[in-house]
Amino acid sequence: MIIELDNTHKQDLSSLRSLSAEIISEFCKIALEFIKKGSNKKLYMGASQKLNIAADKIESLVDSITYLFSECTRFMLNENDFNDTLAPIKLSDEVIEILRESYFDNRKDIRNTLQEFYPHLDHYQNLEWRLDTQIANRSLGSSINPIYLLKLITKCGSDNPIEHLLQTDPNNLKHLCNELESALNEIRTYENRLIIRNIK
Amino acid sequence: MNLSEDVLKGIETLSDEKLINDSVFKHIIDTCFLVILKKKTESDLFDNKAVSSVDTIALKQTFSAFIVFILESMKINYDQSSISDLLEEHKLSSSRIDFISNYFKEYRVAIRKHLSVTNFHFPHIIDVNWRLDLFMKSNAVEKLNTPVYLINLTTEQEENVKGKVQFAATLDQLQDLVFKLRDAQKQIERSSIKS
Repeated sequence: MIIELDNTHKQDLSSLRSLSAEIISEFCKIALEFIKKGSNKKLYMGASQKLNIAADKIESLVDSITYLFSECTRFMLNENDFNDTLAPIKLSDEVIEILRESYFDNRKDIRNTLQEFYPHLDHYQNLEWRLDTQIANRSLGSSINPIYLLKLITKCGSDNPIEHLLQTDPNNLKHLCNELESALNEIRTYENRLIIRNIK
Repeated sequence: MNLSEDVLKGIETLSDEKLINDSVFKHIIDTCFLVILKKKTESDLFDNKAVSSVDTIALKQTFSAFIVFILESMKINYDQSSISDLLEEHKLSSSRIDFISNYFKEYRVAIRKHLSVTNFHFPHIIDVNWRLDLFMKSNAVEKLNTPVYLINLTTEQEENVKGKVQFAATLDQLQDLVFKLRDAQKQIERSSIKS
């Protein structure tokens, strides 16, 4: 399949013809950063001074490369389809080669980033735990009460990680382990493997 | 055991069989234990016809004194014979001491359990719920087909105040989580073998 590029994107990409290979690969890097972390106006300002091109022109160019990469990644375009997508713009082979290399090198990373665009779902990051034994409190002396203190760290996209401080007792921990383990095993059952294999 | 004079005076009032007859005595003791276990409330103290004959101030003093006595003795896990001795010192009749001792025998474990959780703590995980989804595609990516686990931890902050922690995990992330939790769980077995 081919990605349909609209006119602005075509114009932006065709302006790559007049740029050197070094600068093009620099733009590719900025576009990849853009996908991962969002736009960075300072970078555009710096580049605009260096190259003597207006900052908004650079921004729009990076936007177009970003669009190209994310759409191609979205549909997992192979080499032929990627070349066909760029064919109407009539770029030189050298420029296409740079774009293609940058696309294939980073496709996996881009997909991982795109996957994280869930609506409002925190993803598991890390878990730290500590085993304490409570031996006294204000209302009760000489007792033994084992408590697990858990620090669950979750993250939503590129936001700051969120820390949840939780605690549990050995029995509940065992229950938690068993339940989550059965969740892991569920994916290996015959029926579920069949479903996963047949959804294309 | 350190008890203030007010408390000791309150316990002594319990020995006054003229002021507090047997049915009132039994009602006070019963209410004290059940209030601590949160099965009754303090207003139940006055829900008894026999009680109306007793001076309200004396009744309240006795009630609060005995509550303190139960809490303090259970805090240091005072044994049965020491409790009987102390009550005897304050002139309670043996039938009344027996009555109180029976209550202590019956509720000792329950009260200590109650006291151990009467405290502040972090949200306590009491249950977990999970769901396995196959993430097929979204507006940003197609042809994905990776499993995604949605995990919902039920927590309890105070009694009957529930909270939840919700997060998603990929297969690798969940494996990492389970590995760490198993490790934590084994740690307590290792510690108990060593000691």
